[in-house]
Amino acid sequence: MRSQPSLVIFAIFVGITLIVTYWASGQSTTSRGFYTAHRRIGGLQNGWAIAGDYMSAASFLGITGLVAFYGFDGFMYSVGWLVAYLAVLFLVAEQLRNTGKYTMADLISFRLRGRGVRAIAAVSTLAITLFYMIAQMVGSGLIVNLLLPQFPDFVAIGVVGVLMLVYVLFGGMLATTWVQIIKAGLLLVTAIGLSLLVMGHFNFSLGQFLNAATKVPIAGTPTNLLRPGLLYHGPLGAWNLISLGLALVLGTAGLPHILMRFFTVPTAKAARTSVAWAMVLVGAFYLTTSFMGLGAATIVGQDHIGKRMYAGQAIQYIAHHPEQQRALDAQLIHDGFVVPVANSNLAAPLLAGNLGGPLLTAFVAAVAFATILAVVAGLTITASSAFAHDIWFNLVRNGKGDETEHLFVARATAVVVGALAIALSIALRGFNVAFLVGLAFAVAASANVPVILLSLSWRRFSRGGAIAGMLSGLISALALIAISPVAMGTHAIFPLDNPGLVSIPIGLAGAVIGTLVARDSSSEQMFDQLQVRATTGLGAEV
Amino acid sequence: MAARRRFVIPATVFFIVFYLALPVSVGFAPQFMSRAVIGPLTLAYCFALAQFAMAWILLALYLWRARSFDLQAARIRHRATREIKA
Repeated sequence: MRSQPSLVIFAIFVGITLIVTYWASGQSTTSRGFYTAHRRIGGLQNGWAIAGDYMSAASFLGITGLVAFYGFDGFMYSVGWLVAYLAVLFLVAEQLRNTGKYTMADLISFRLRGRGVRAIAAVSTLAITLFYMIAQMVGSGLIVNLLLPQFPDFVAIGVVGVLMLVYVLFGGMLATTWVQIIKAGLLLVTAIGLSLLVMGHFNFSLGQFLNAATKVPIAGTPTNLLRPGLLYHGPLGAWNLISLGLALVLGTAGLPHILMRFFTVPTAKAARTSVAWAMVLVGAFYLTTSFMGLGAATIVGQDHIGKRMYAGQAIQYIAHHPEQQRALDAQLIHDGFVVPVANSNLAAPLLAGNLGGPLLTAFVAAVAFATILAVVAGLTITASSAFAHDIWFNLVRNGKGDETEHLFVARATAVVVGALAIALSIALRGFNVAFLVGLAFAVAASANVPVILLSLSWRRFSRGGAIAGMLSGLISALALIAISPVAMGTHAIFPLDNPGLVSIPIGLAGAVIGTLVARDSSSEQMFDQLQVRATTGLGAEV
Repeated sequence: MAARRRFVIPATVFFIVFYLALPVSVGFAPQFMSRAVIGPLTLAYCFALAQFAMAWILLALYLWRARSFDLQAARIRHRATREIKA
């Protein structure tokens, strides 16, 4: 019964975005229109779209939950994800707009003319977008599982998958952009509204609110959530924090779906304006995670957020017999199952329910679903460009082939990637979502960022360096996660949850050593040309 | 180009050091960072909020400086197009 308002609100969002898609479909008839919306998106619009592309379910549900459970330590994510935009602003946004055409690989292979460089750049793009996409879609399954238990989670994954394909196939980048803008507006209004309701609960007294946050009962003892150390403690905790911080701050500058947004604006100046708007919007949003998270901890209380997740029939059972939870856990352990841990992702919707009743919960759930949808649409079009433009058009067809073929391959790739993501997400249901997002950020920071930076700034940087850098970053990030506590639990060989602290230097070292081993005179000759084009925009794609 | 680099390189070094100071101080001196400084707000939380201020201030500074980079870039583009025509 409770699910109906949620479905209605979500249906309204889908209706509006489908109208936008229909309108945009007439303008996506060329590959330039399909990938970049004819580079006619303004700086302000692109800023909103970047914010919409970036603020994922991990940001909204994930961080709110982390702050509700671990206070300050959860807020560290918010800080890292905002500061990351300084790296985007200073190091990549304008340069990328001036040197690239459709993809990140365009920037790297501008001076490093080699098939190998482009192929590996495209593979790393595909790997990052796929990990990220699966994380989002598994997340959508979780939300539906928790909020609308009468639907199985693969229905949610299927709905998200089909809708994202409709946006991308028919509306291309223009529709994707507007879906992201609408969603960013919705999410920001929701977050600010919830924060105001939290403050209203404390009579708009910041002192009262913070005082309540210093004595939140956790397992019976009052705990100060404003203190650090609830999630990361001891020397290992410190190194975990540093490693995570590095990956968050550098990873954003290597996330292909964010980088791709800079090809949709007309000039480098508009690229800069869009980062500026994105920083204002994203920053405002991340500030509200403190209010929502601490609000959920103080108003709802952790004991009520910590609803556990079960699969299939167990959900129904526990919904009707909450007092049986302990017995069910014991039985599951006895039968050799891993007992699900308390799930913090529900903090935001539960807070909404507590402050505004079931209608507000429904609204927040629908916004969370819309959030996921906008992010996966951006990811799909990015993956499609990496395959169709980099691998098919540039490598397989050597730059030959006409518009019709290019567009057909782009759309076909979107379908294949979408279908693959749906299938993998259904197969990986119940997989740790944070683990997959961690993979995406670690690979982006370790494989892409060193190579992007060196190709923009180091004259001697060579093809060999780019290949060695991307491969060593990609492989070390994947390998270290595979032997980390996230994948192996207590038997982990590598002690840190996030591999950034080790894999980013490995990626950088790979790039430097590769360059020193294999010199590349054509790359050195092209360096000045790249510098001029990157900073002045002379000869940039229009 | 050089003017842009003169701003961007020190600014990048500054924000990375300023940012990493947060996990380092919180990770290795949790007791010190747990002291309440403004009402119940801890030093750690104040430092985290200062990161927001830092990001927005650096953004504003860069936007302000970038106007002169744009002028220079436009001048270079203009000269280059004239030379190509000539």
